Amino acid sequence: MKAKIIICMKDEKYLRSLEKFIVSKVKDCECTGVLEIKELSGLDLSSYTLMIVSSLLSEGVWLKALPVIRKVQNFILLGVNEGPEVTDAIALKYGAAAFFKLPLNSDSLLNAVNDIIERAERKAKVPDIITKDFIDSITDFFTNMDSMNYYQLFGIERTCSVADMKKKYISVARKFHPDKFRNVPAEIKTMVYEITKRANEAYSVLSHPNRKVIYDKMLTENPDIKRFDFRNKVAYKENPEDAVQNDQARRFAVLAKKAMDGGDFRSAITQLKMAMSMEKNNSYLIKLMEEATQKVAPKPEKSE
Amino acid sequence: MSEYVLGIDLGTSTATVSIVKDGMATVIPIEGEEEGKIMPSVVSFLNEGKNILVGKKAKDRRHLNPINTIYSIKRIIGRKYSHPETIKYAKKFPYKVVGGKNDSVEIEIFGKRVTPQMISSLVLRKAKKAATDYLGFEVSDAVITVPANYNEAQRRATQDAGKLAGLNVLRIINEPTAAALAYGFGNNLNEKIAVFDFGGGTFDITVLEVKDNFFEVLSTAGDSFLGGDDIDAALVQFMVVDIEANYNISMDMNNEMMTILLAEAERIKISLSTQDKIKVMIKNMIPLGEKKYADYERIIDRKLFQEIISPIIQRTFDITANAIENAHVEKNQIDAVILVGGSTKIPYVQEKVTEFFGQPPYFGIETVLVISMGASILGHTLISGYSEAAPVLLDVIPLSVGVGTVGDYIEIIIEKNEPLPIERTSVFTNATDDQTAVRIEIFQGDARNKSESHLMGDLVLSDLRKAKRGELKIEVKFEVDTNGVLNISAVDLETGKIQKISLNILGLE
Repeated sequence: MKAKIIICMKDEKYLRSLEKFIVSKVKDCECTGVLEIKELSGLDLSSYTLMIVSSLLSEGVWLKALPVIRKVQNFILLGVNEGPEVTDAIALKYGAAAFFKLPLNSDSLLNAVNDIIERAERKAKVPDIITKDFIDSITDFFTNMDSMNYYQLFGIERTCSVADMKKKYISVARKFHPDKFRNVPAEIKTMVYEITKRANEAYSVLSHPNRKVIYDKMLTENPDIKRFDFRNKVAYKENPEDAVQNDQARRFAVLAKKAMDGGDFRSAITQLKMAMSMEKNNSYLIKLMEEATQKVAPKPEKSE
Repeated sequence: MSEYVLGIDLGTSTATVSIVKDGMATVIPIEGEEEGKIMPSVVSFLNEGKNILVGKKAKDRRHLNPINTIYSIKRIIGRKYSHPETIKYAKKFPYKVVGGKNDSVEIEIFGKRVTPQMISSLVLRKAKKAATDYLGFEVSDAVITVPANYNEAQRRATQDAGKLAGLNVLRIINEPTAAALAYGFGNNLNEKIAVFDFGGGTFDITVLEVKDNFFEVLSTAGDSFLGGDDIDAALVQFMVVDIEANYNISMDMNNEMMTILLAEAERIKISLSTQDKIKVMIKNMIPLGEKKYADYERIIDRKLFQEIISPIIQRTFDITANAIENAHVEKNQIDAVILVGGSTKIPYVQEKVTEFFGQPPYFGIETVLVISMGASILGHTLISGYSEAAPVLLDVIPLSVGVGTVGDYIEIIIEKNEPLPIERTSVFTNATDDQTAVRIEIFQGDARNKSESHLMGDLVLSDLRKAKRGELKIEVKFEVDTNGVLNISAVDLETGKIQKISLNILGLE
C-alpha cells in the first residue's frame, strides 16, 4: 500500500524541497504539496493519509482547516518561532501525531513519518493466526450474545459451581480479550471488545451472591430477559421537590420544605402527610418526614 | 524493524523506561542519571525558560533555583485547583502553583503558565529520547503507568502528557498491576499475591490472582496523597518543632530553608535504611537574631525515626486491610507479598509488612525498576500477534462512579472493583415540560453523599426533543475502558436516535 503524504505550508521554496526530500527518503509514498489550505478539499484524504502541516498558517486559517484535517488519520505539525506561537499544547489540541519546531531535524521527521506509516500498515494487516474460521467464531459469538443468558454465554448449567463458572469465564476472556487484538480491523476489535464487556458483566453477576439470586429469580419468572438490570432509574431533578411526580403532591412538598426552613415542623408534617397521601413511597418525601418528625419529637429526658 | 513498546514508569520522584528485548524486560540506560537508569522526575527551567533541564541535573538545582525547579508534579497533575490537597501542596512547593481554566492546576515559570501535563511530558520526552539513543531508532508506542487509585482527570492528564511527548499511548496501566506482571509473567504461577506499592507520592495496595498467565485483579485501594514525600514532610516538621522547642524561637520558614530541610529529610530517610543512626548537621539553620545563626545538630536513630513516621505507615495498613476484605480473601491465603516503590526500602516498613501478612515480603525483584518492566511486558503483548497463551490482564475500576440525584445523594452507576472493560446504563428524564438541556453531576469515590465525594465533572444532555415532563427517556451509557477511562454516549429510547451529550471533567483544561 502506498502511503499518501500531503504537505501544506506557505513557503513555496521550503515546500518543494521538503516534498523532494520525503519522496527520496520514504519508500512507497506519494507526496503532494499544497500552498493553501483550501486546495486540500479537492484531494482524496483516505484514512491512511499522512499530512504535514506548517503552522505558518495563521490561527484563523487553522480553525477553517480543522474539519479537513480531522479527516486525516495522522498529521505532523511543524512549528515556527515567529507568528502564532505553536507549542506542544496546540499540537495536542489539533491531534497532531508529532510536532517539530522549524528548522526541523530531517532525521527525526523521517523517523516520525516512517513510524506513522508503519503503524498504519500494522493496523491494516490481519495477523495470519487469526484465521477465517476464528473470525467467523468471533462473529457468531457476537451476533448471538444478545439472545443468550449469562449461563448460555459461558456454556454452563445454572447449578454450576462458582469455581467452574470462573474457569469458563477465564477461557472466554483468554480467547477474546481486546488486548490480544491490537492489529486487526476495527470491526473485529469492536466485536471482541463488546464480547469481553458482556463476559465481565456476566461474571460480575454470577460471582456476586446477591445479584445471582436476583438474576436466577428473574430468569425463572421471565426467561426472555437475558441480562441483569443494573439500571437505576434516575429521574434528573433541577429542584429536590421535582422528585415528586404528582403535581398536587409537589405543591405540598414545596410548602412543607418552606415550613421546615422556617422552623415550623408541625405544619410541615401536616403538608407532608397530604403530599404522601398522593405519593406514598416517594423517598424525598419520606426523608423530609423523618427529619420533621425527629425535630418535633419530645427529647428524651435526661435521667438524673 | 522489530517492534518495541516503551514501558514507562512515570513516578512521583523518579521515572524509568523499559522495553522487552529478546523476550526479556530490559531497563533502558539513561546517561547521567542515578544508577545510569533512574531519572528523577524533576524539571528545571533556566535562563528565562529558554533552557530546560530534566532529571538528575534538574534535581541538583532544586536548592539553587527552587522557584523554577518543578518536582513531585504527579501530586497535582489532573487535580482540581480547589482540592484541599492541591492547596496544601501549592503552599508547600517552592514553585508557584496557580489556578487555570476549569478548576485546573497550572505552574507559573518566568511569568508564563505551563500545565502539569507539559512538565510530565518533558520527563516522558527524555525517557523516549533515551530509548531512541539506546535502540538507534525512534519508538513512539508506549504503555505508561499510573497509581491504581488515579481518578478520571488524572488518567486523562497522563494520557495527554504522553501525547505531548510525541508518544502513542497504547495503554495506561496501574502500577501495582504492572509490578505483578513483572513478578508473575512466564513463571506458570498459581498464586494469590498482594502488591504493596509505597512510592514517593502515592500508596496503592492491589490483590491479584495469577493463574497460568491470567492476571485477575481482585481488589485495589489506595491513597493518592500518601508516600515518601509525607515521610520527608514529617521529618521536616520534626526538625522545625525540635529547633523551636530547644531555642525557644519561632522559625520563619522560607523557600530556601524548606528546600534545605527537605533535602536533609530525604538523606536521613535513605541513610536510616542502611544505618542504625545518623547525625543531622545543617549549617546556619537557626536564627539567633542580629543576623547570627547557629548550626542545627541532632542524632536521629531508627527508633526516633519510627516514632516520627509511624502514623503515616499505619495509614497504609488500614487501607491494606480494607483491600484484602474487598478481595474476599484472608490474609493467610496470600501466597506472596511484593514490595514496590522507594518507600518500601525503609526497614520499618518491611518489618510492618512482615508482621501484617505473617510472612516476609518477596525480595527477588527490584522495587524501583519493576513497574516499568511490567509495563513493557504488557506493551509487548499488545503489539504481538494473537496468541492464546499470551498473558491476559483483567484489571478493575478503582473508584465507584455515580451521579448526583436529589438533595445530597449520589446514585452509584458502576461499583468499584468491577472488571474492565465495563458498561452500565442509566435512564434520565426531563424534569419540566419542553426542557432543552439536562445537566448531571458525576462523582467518583465511595461516599454516597455529594458533600463527601469527589465531583468528577458533569454531563450535559443538550438539544433535547420537546416533550412533557417525565416523558423523555434518555439512556446514558457509562463505559469504562481498559485504561480505566470513562466514555459516555446517550440514546433517546423512544426514537432510537443518538442524543447529544458532552462530558466535562474538572481539573483538565
